[in-house]
Amino acid sequence: MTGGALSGFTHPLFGPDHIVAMVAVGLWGAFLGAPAIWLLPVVFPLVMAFGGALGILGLPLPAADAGIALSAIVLGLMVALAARPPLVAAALVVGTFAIFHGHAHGAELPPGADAMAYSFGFVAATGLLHLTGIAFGLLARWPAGAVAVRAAGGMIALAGVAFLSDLL
Amino acid sequence: MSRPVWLAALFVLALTALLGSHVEIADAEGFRAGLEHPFAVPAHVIALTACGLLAGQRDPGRHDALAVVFIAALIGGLAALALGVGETPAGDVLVAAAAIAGLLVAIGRPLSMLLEFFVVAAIGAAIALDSPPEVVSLRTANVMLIGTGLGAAILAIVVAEIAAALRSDWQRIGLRVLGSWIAASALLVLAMRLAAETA
Repeated sequence: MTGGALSGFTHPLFGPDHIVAMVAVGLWGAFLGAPAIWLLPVVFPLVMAFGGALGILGLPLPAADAGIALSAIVLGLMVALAARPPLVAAALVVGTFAIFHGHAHGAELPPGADAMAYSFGFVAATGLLHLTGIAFGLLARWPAGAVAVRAAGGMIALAGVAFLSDLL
Repeated sequence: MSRPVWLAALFVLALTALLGSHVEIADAEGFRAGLEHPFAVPAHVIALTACGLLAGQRDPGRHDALAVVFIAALIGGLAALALGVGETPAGDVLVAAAAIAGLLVAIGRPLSMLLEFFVVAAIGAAIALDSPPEVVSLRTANVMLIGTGLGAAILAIVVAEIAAALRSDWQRIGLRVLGSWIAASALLVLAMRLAAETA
């Protein structure tokens, strides 16, 4: 059981595009404040799992890899620019990208007896990446911290540009 | 007597009455194997955790009612196994029920009481039916079933009591996050099973 969970837990940690986008989600949630800061980690895994189910069932999603790279660019820019759209708009942006991330990773989930442990490890790692972003994003309460958080958003956006250029 | 102790005692008494036998030292290995089973199968751990979180998140009245329904369904499932019920889709039902229970925890507000009763009953019965003992002796199989039932009840009750003790806003949000992780992982497993069946 621990082997399956550990394997699932480490899977998203080996995908830099996934890592930066998930951290950006947390950073943006912290910037937006309540209720986004707590709604996000509850809703994101569910939407991501929906995307994952589409991928597992073989339903095509056009340009999934480009969508993931784009997620780092857009979410990083949202943080860098300290964008504060309405909650519904932010949720739509994040939810759309959650489907791309879920779809790409869903097809990689192995079938078998440890599928549940693997899936839970995978989802938990993603959630903890959000929490990492949220924890770092809380620094934005202080002026110097806000600069650091926005700089991190800018770096995430640049990383997204690099991921996208690799695909083109 | 506190609520969890009361429930555990009720459960042990009901099982003993059901099987009409007592555990001897020679059956200790089988009992231990049964007891460990719900802790060793990932789908069982996650479903029981979801069930416990759901009960612990609710007010004390509904918490107790959900616990009683869960234990009754668990005993019913164990009785069906002891009476030799055949193959069932318990594995799929368990994962689906875990997904719904996780979703209910993530929502964080009491919805239909009937739905919650149905979900915890499905988990209780499916846990039992998904744990058929693989032994030759009928007596050992029954002792293993007692252990399985007790292990499942302990896990669910402990999680429920911990969840009920978490009262601050951040702790309650943590429970909802955990519920969403359970629902998401169960949804992925359901999709995998569906894909395997249709392949």
